[in-house]
Amino acid sequence: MSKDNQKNVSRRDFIWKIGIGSVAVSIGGASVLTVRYMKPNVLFEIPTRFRMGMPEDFSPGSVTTDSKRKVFIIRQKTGAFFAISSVCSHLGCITQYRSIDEKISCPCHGSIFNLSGEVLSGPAPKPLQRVLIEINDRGELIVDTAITVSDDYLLRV
Amino acid sequence: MLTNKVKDKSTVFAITSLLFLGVLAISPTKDYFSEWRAYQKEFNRLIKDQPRRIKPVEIGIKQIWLPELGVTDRCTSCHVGISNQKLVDIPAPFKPHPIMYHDSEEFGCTPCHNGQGIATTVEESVGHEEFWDSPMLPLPFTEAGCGTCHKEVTVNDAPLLSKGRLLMQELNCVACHILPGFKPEYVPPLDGVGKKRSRDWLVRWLTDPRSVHVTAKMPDFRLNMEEVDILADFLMSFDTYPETVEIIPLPDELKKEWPDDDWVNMGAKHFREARCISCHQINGKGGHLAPEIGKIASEVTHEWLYNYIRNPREFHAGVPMPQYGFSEKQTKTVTAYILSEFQDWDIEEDSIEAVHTPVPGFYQKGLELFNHYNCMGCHELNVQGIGRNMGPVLTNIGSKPQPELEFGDVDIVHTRTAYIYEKIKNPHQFLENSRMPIFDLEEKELKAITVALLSMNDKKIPSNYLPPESAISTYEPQGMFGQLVDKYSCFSCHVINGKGYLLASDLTLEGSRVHLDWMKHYFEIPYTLRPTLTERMPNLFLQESEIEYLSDYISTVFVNDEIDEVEIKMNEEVVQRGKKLVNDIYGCVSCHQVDGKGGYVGPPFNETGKRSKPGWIYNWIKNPQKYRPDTIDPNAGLTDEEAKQITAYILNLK
Repeated sequence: MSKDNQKNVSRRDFIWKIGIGSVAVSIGGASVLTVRYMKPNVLFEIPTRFRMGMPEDFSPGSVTTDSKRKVFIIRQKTGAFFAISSVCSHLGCITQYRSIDEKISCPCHGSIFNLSGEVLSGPAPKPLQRVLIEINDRGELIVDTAITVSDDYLLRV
Repeated sequence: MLTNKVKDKSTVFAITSLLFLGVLAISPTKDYFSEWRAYQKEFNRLIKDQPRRIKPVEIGIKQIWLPELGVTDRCTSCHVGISNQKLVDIPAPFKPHPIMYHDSEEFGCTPCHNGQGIATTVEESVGHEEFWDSPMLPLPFTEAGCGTCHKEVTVNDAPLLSKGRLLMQELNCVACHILPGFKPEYVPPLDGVGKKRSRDWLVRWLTDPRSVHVTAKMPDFRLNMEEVDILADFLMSFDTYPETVEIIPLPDELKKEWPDDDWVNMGAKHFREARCISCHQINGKGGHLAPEIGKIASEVTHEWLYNYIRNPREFHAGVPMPQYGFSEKQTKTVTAYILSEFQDWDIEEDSIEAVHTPVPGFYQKGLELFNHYNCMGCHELNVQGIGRNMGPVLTNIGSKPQPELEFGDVDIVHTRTAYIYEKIKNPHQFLENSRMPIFDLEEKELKAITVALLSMNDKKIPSNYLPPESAISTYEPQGMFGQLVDKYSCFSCHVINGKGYLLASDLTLEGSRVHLDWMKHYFEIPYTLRPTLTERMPNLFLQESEIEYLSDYISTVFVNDEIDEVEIKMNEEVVQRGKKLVNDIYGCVSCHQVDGKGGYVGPPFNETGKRSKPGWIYNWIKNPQKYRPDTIDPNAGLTDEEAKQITAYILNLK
């Protein structure tokens, strides 16, 4: 009889465990999915990673402005590339390249940067951010404005 | 008792919890087992067997978002290899796109292919989705996508679309339908048709034009015998030519049952020189531009034939046939030849009705039928009471909502593509009493026209995505030259400054190309420049003064100083070097002849120096495609010096 009792108890326990277990799995799963939900599957915005054409299309010593993607592509006289964000480090205005004295200036509060993005004058506290530029397997230049790189990053082709 | 209660509660708890878990798990499970995920995993498995290392795809929905174009295309979620040309022998849907004319990241997929770009299952995106009105174009009809933006008639690399547009032009669809971009074709007017044709011929023609001429352009209107009779009587009643036409009665020499042999032989010679068969067919052989004339002598009155050869443009302004400069005697001999040779020997004399009594009330009934079938869409006829009676507007047929298409009980898939294809094939299967005639087209032609029609849609494409509009030529030759160009229909075969049809050569730079003397001689006795081509340029029987004028005009006006200014130094050394380049280094003789040896594709070099000016030879061999984009003469990438040496060699051959 006692054996039967024991059996009954453990079966009840077992059923309870199933119940609690499923609740726990549900809650756990739901929270994982909720966190996952914070990150969208697709973004309705201009991709941060984009192609900029073939390296030959940029002459050495040139500055190319892409105002839509907010980035400058600079090719040094040596042929090396780097890309800097054109978003001002002060209050986020879009800076402009002045070909007359080869400087980058911010129209909002007058900050001036040189072509390496370093602050020459004005309220900007930091240099312009250098972003990733690389070559893909088709030999095209790829820029990713979401990935920042150190201020001495250069792409040699 | 108590235990039972606890047991009940725990059981209820366990079951509800499990149900809860089950319900919650539905969504993530569905997501996990989604089609695109399976495809991406399959792709990552397959690339391990690829000869070159391919980066595996990061699992997740891929999307091309182009707000300006209104594109949200998730096609690349499954077609992950679409722009990876390194993939070899990989099955669909991973195959790379054959030739990429437009970058998929810049243009997306649906602007060309249609389909529901935002969908992530096969059925909803490229399958048959009932509530998506722009289903993916079936693969054979894909070129309709090109035609959405590329509106020029012939689109490079879209042969089916180009064929369809050319066919629609040729079949004169614009006569009955509003179709932007198409011009009306020349069709013979019907004033005086009662004097040109016999009633018997009209009956045969109206019953089925293709039983009279296999190549007849007029489609079959499926007229019943009664309608044919009425229309024939109606048309026979127009037996006066317009007042502007001067009619010379048939000369006595041509009234005889058999014209003199001398005349026939002379006429045959002129007929050949005039190269009538460049455009006309004779019993199925010849050109495709003009009607079959193999039995013309039995098909028209002899008076009409004589007067027409004498002066086609007076009869029909706008006819593409050139006005040959035949003398009176020449006209007579050519007519004599045609009358004796191009007879329908099968006609039985008895079958021709001796006297015909017109159907009562034929005029009124005929006029109604003429208007009902919109005959004046093609044929001009200056009679009161005739009006246009057009068919449906087809401006945006390529995007007409599918539920608005009348499929009737025709058993086909209910898509726009299938509808258009079947409608052109047989208009009457959808609507028994449809007015649209049957064009009797081959499958490839049906497909081509369907593609061309599908390309006529109302898709809104921002201007920065559109190709630069090809400039439409406004060139209109003036004065005496303009009159001659019109009289001899030069634009039917030649292009000048972008105007005309490129059947023969572009004459825009002809003055810089050929020597004046050669040109004059060519007008007198035209011959073909390339041994393998059929002779096509007719002897137009120009008067001497006309030859003088045309040659002088062409060699002064159609020139480019840059071409003329090239100086070629001629000496033994340069010529020898040129010879070596032609024979050994560039192998020009595999296509061109020198001293009777060599290929048969290009013009023989021995003739070239007499015809072409030095500057032209030099510029042409440096970049033939600059002057004629479709030429097969290769651009050998010659240096300036090499080009001059070859030019010197060719000039030295003459």
